[in-house]
Amino acid sequence: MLIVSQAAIANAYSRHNGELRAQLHLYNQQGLYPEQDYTSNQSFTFQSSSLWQSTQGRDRLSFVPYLSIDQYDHSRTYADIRELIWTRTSDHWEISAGIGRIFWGVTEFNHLVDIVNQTDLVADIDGEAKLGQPMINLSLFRPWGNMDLLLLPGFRQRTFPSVEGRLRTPVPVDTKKVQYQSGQGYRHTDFALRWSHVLGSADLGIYLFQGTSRDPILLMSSANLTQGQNLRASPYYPQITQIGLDTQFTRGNWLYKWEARWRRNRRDQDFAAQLGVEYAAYNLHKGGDLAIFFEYGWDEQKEHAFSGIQDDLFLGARWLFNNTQSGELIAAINYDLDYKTRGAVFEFSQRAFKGSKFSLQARVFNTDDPRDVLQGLTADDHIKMTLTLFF
Amino acid sequence: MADLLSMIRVASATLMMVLILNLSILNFNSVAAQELQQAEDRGLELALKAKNKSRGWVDMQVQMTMLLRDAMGRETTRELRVTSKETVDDGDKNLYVFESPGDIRGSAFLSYSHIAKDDEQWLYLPALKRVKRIASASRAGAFMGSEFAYEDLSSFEVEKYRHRYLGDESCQGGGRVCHIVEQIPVDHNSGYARRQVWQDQEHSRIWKIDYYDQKGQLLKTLVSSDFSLYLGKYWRPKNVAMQNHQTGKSTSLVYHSYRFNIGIMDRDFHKSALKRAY
Repeated sequence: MLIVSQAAIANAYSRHNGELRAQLHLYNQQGLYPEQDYTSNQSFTFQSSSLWQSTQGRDRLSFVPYLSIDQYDHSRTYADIRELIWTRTSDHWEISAGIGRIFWGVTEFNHLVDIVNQTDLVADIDGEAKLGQPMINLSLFRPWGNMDLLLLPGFRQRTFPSVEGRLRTPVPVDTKKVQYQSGQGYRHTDFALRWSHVLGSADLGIYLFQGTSRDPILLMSSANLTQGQNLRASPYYPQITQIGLDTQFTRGNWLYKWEARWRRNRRDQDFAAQLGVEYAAYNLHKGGDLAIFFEYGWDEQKEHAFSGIQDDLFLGARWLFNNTQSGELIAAINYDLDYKTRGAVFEFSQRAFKGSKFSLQARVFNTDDPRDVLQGLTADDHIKMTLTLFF
Repeated sequence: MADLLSMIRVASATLMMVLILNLSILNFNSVAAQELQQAEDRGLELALKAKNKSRGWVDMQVQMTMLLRDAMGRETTRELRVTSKETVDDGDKNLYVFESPGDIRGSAFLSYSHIAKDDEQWLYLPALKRVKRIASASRAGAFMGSEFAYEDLSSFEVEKYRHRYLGDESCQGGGRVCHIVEQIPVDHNSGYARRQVWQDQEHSRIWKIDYYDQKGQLLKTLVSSDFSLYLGKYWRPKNVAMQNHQTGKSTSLVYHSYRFNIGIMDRDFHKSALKRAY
């Protein structure tokens, strides 16, 4: 059979797909705070992904809307545009404009340098869910590395659970009382410049960011102090200059990772770093793959560090069954060397039936020291069951 | 005197016999060494022939359906798009983009195959939009849980093996003759002690490969079928099946819509291109 090859490159095409997720949180006790008087919580999320691509693949338009509905927490009922972005790709450069998502970083337990997108904290407490960010991104491809120039017009506030939500800070955050250092508020245009390169076994990246900090400082709103019961924290977003570095060395079965952040605002400056090692072993018992992670996080800010990671150890393992149901098992523990806070997460997931995925996750929080910012979670041990339908 | 003479006669006869025996052993050894050398030369020649016949396609894209079957007969299907680019004097670059099922769609795997050093590999995780460089000692590891190891999928490079021609056999019926070549991987990280390749005489197409594990036991067998000719020069199979004899699991690959020489740039094989691969 003789087949003549097509000289033409990819034809224009489009694709549409989506996922519907049903989630059930089961808490082992009622919350620390009176409004958290329930032990189970249902939620649903929907996300679709549409792509239109021109001939030769040089132009792309991506649209990813997101919707979340929560049984008890009204801050977890919201919609977001994760992506609505046009990209043109050329031989030596690429430009994107619209609402997009960009990830920078190499470590697993803390994404110190992942600054472009704001964290959608209500979507997942692990901080890995992100809100869409308006951006204009010009990427240049050179033999000495890639340069990314980002213009970020417009700022997104971090999402926080409302007073009746669980997995929240002790004093609930009122996002309506947001304050900005910049007079332009959320309209401030931020800027980033990043160089990245692959040199042998090293993947490198370093950037300079100038603009509104994505991490808020939570201020006790003085206006509310007199009202007693309705104590709320208001988020304050300062202007910062930040240098972020991410490096990974890959050698044989070992990965060595380092993220570092130098940040300066009007008043002072701080430094934070995350160091990590990963060991990957393949084709073990019954063809499974194992990855073991060990990381250390340090933040000069100590108790003021937003994430609560200031002198913390992390140990985790992931087992991929490599079976027909795509089973996966994750276990991780974290330990705060300063406050002796301990936490653990355990997760199992696999395909339930065709076109679906089921996951079971258990999280335990153990805070003894009231100085730890995570002490509001101490009664929030839970099991989370998720069923995702793909279409 | 007569005793001495007969002793000398016996001794010299024995000496002669020993010499002749030694010489013939030496001769036999050198014959064996020569035969081995010939077998290795022929094996290398056949490997080069197969490699040269499959060179020059520049770049290629193909749709692949991967069917995984476990020992109990349970199945799962994955759809991928595979894009490859030839590299001169080194291994090829391969990009695998997963289109189904839903929980892995959008994931991409990029691999730079190298002859003299570890492969470079990156994984793209679409949920986080994260590109991650992964451990390159994964040659022996299973590709996406299938019976194909990464080293099975990476391009065939002659320098990666020591070759030895074993003989001919008829293969795939129809009067076709296959050369059998033994290939021993040079890389210590390989999952195989050796492999045995059936390559047809006519077009140097590979019809069957037996893989032997580090204990020397038969581990897997690969069978290709339904070859078609592309660009008047390149034979590519439609079906490739890998059976694992030790676990009872198997994976079949069905290829369709082969496209060659479509002008894919090196930049499309860079880690920064993974986020727009799907």
